[in-house]
Amino acid sequence: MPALSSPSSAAPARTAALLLLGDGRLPAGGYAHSAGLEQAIARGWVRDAPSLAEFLRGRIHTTGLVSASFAAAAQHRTAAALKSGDLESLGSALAELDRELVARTPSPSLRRIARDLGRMLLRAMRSISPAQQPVLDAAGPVLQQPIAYGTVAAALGLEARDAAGLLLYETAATPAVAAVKLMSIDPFATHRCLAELAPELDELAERATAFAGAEARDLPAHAAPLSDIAAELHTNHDQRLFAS
Amino acid sequence: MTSASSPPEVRSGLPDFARTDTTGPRRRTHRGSFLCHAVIATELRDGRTRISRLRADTPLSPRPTIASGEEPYIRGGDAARIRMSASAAGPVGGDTYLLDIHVREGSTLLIRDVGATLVLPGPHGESSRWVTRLRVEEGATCVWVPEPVIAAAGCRHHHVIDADLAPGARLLYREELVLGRHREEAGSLSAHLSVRRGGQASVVQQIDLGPAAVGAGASSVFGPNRALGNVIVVDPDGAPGPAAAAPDAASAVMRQDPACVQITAVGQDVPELRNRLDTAMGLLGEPWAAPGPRPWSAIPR
Repeated sequence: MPALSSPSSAAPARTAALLLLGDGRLPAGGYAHSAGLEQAIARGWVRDAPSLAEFLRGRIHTTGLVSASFAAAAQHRTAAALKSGDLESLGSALAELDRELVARTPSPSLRRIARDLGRMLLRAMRSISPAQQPVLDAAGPVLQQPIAYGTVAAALGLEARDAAGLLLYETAATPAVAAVKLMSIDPFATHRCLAELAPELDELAERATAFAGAEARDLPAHAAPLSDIAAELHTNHDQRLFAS
Repeated sequence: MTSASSPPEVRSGLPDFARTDTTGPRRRTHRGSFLCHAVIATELRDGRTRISRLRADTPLSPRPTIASGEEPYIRGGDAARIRMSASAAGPVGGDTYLLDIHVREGSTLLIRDVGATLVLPGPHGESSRWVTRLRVEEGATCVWVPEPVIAAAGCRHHHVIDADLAPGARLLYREELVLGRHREEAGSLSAHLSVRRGGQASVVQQIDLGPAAVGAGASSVFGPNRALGNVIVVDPDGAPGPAAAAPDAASAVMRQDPACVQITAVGQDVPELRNRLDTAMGLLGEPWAAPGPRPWSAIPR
C-alpha cells in the first residue's frame, strides 16, 4: 500500500509567508486607499452591491491583470537573481519593469500612490524580514507597488503565481473593504462580491503568471480610463476619507 | 484583393494577428478580404518638407492636399499635408490594413482624414485589424488628427498604433473611438496605443471596449459611455500644460513624463467628447489653445 503522499513532500509549502504578505493587517499602507471607489461613490457611479460588483470586475480585468503581470515578472526576475547569486543586475531589470509600468499608468496621482505604497512595502519588509535585506537593497529604494510585491514575494520564497494572485486579490479587496466605510452596504454583501469573483481572479492570475518570463514591453497594458479620471478628480476633492 | 506589388517589409515586425499567408503568387488573406499596405514618407529637401513616398493600396488612399484652415500646431508653415481617404468600405471583418508613416529628419507631416472610419462586421465573423507604424526621426514633427473610429454593431476590430519617436521628435496625436453609430448597438473594439521615445516607453495602453470586453461597462473602466478620446502630445522642449488637471468629471490632463502629456476624455456621443477634448487641449496653452473653437474636424461644427 503506497504511503499517503504529503502535499508538502516535494518542497516546503510557503503558506505562512503568503498569508503574511496577503494579510490586510500588514502595516504597508494599503488600508488608507479605496482605489478610486470613494470618487466613484461621490459621483454616483456606484450606489449598491450590484454596481460595486461590476466596479470590482472592471478593475480586476484591467488594472488587476496589469499589476498582477508586473508582480509575476518582478518575482521571476528576483527569483532568477537569487538563484544565480547575481544581485548586481537586479536593480536595472526591475527599473526597466518600473518604466514600462509607469508608461501604463497615465494618471500622475496613481503613479505617486503606487510609488508610495511600494516604498512603504519595501521599508516594512526590511524591518519584518531582516534576513532579506541584501535582495531588498539590490531591488532599489523606490518601486511601483506591484513590482515591490513581486520582489518581496520572491525574497520570501513565493512563486510568480502567488505574487499574481496576491495582487489580483488586493486589487479587488481594497475597494471592497473601503465600500463599507463609504456607503450604506452590508459587509457580508461586499464579501459576497469578492467570493463571486474568485473564479475570475484565479483565471486572471493564471494569465498574468504566463507573462512572468516575458519581455517587459510585451506585458499587458489594459487601461481603465474612468479610474485615471477618478484619481485626478480625487486629488482635488475637498472632503475625502481615503487617500485614493 | 491586395495588389501584387506589396513591398516585402510588410512581413516583418508585425503582431502575430497581422501576419497573413504570403506564400502564394498573389498575396491575399483568405476569402477575399483586403490585405493592404499604404506608405507615407516625408523628408527635408532644400530646407522644405517634401513627400518622398506616397503609396496607396485600396482601400487605404492617402492624398496630398493643400493647407486649409488654421494650423497653429505647424511651426513656420512648412509641412506636407496628407488626408487619408478610403476607396472601399471598411475595415470589414477579415481585413488587414497596414499603414507605415515615416517622417524623416527635420520634416513636418500633417495627416487628417476625409471622413470617419466605420468598422463593419465581415461575412465570416472574423476580426479586422488596422496596424499603423509611425516613425518620427530627430527634429521631425508629426501631427495626426484622424476622424473618429466607429465600431458598428457586430464588428471585432483591433486598432494598433505603434509610434517610435527619436528623442528630438515632436508628436500630436488625437484619437476618438466610438461604440456604434447613432442608436446602434456597440461593436467590439480593442485599441492599442504605444508611444516610445528613443526606445523608452512613454505611453503604452490597450483599451478593450464593447460586448467582447469583460468588465468594460464597469464604472471603474468605461461606464455607460459611448465615446473615448485620447490626445498625446510629445514635445522635447517640455510637455505643455499643467502636470495634472481634471477640467470636468469626464476628462483629465495627465503629464506622463517631462516631454509627454496625455489627455483622456469620455462622453455619451462624439460632440460631447469633442467638446471635452477641446476644452482640455485649451489647458495646454499656446500654440494648442486659442480663443475660438479649433477646426479639428472635417465635419462642420
